Amino acid sequence: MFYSIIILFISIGIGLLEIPKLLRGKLVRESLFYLLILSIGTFFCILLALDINLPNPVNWLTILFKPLTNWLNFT
Amino acid sequence: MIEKGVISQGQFIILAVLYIIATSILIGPPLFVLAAKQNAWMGIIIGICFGVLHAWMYGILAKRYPNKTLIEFNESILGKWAGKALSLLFFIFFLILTSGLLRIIGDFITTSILTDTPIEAIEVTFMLLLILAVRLGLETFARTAEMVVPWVLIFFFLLTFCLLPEIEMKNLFPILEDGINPVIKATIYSLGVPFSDLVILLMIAPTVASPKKIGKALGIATFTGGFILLTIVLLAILVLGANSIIQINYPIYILAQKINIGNFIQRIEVLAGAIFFISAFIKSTISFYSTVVSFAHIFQLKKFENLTLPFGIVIISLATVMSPNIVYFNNFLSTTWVPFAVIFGSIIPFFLFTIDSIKGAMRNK
Repeated sequence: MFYSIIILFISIGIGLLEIPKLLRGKLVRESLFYLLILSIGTFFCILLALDINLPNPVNWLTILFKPLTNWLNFT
Repeated sequence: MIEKGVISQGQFIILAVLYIIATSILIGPPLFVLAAKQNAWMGIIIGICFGVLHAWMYGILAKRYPNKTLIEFNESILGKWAGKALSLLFFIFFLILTSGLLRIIGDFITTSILTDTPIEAIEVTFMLLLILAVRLGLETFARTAEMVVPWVLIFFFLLTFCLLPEIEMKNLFPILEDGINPVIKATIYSLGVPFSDLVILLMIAPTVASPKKIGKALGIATFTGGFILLTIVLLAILVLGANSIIQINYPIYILAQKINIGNFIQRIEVLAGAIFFISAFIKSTISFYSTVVSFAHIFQLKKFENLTLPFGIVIISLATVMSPNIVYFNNFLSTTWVPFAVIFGSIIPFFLFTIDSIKGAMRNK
């Protein structure tokens, strides 16, 4: 719990530090994407800090590449 | 093209060489030896030939689109929507590559050097370094690479010469005991670990001062990097023997521990670690840079430097999620990663190359 609050504060700090700079340069699109990626990253980091099991993208890749992998090990 | 910096051809070659040797000297030897035992070195020689072919293909693509990065020219080859979809796939490839690299660095430091430090601490520290490097720009880290490359070469030659007394020729025999198939497998592995990843250098190719000579520069780099990799694998086989390499996670580190000259020069394995840290820093910087730049290209953003911090957070969480433990990750590297990298590094560029050639021929008629 403690770590997740720290992560949240760090992310808010980063956002407050950088997004106004982008907005001052009239880069609205950039700041929207900035906010989006920052929230995705913070969300996952907080889930990790709370010890919640996240789905592993590498597992999906492994399933997707199963036929090729099998063929490679066969030869 | 968002990047405004310009790098020289020599700097590009140095970046490419460090890019090739970075992870391949650390995680390569167990992979190749697992596939072909003591004949792994033959697989690497064939792999270098294929690597040079790749370099030639990338060179032609870079020559046809001198001011465009990989992400931009696949949009002009395939059209807007198919190109965008492919670019998104490449972006995912770069993202997984960067997180995997961060994970490899973290795993190496926590298992070999700082054994009591949590891996997240190392990943966050390294990520801050990468963010700094990408924010300072391509020119700055190309010059950094130029500055550190002598150390890599000095440590590499020192390691090689100090290991010469330990060589046992009998470890190299029997040659081709199981026929040619294991060697072909080792070749495919060598394509997957260092040589196919070179496709990422097409992201920085348009910033080179002379874009027409990219193919030649990549060829030289593949040859040099491949030679260093070949030497390390041969030394590992000759000194440690094929059977013991398979049981070790990081043969180059154990190899350097073997050095003992007159009971005086001993325990210089950190030199081997230094080769890896320096080159892995360059490799992960290039791949992190490409991740951010490709994202900015796909969504047509004007600046990419600002996106480094949020992407750093995403990559740290991905690096933690992607591997529950080192055995799982090594298993992933030896099975799924190889076809994954070969598809993105060899097959897709080959299709782009073919489609572009057909289009060019039709335009000329």
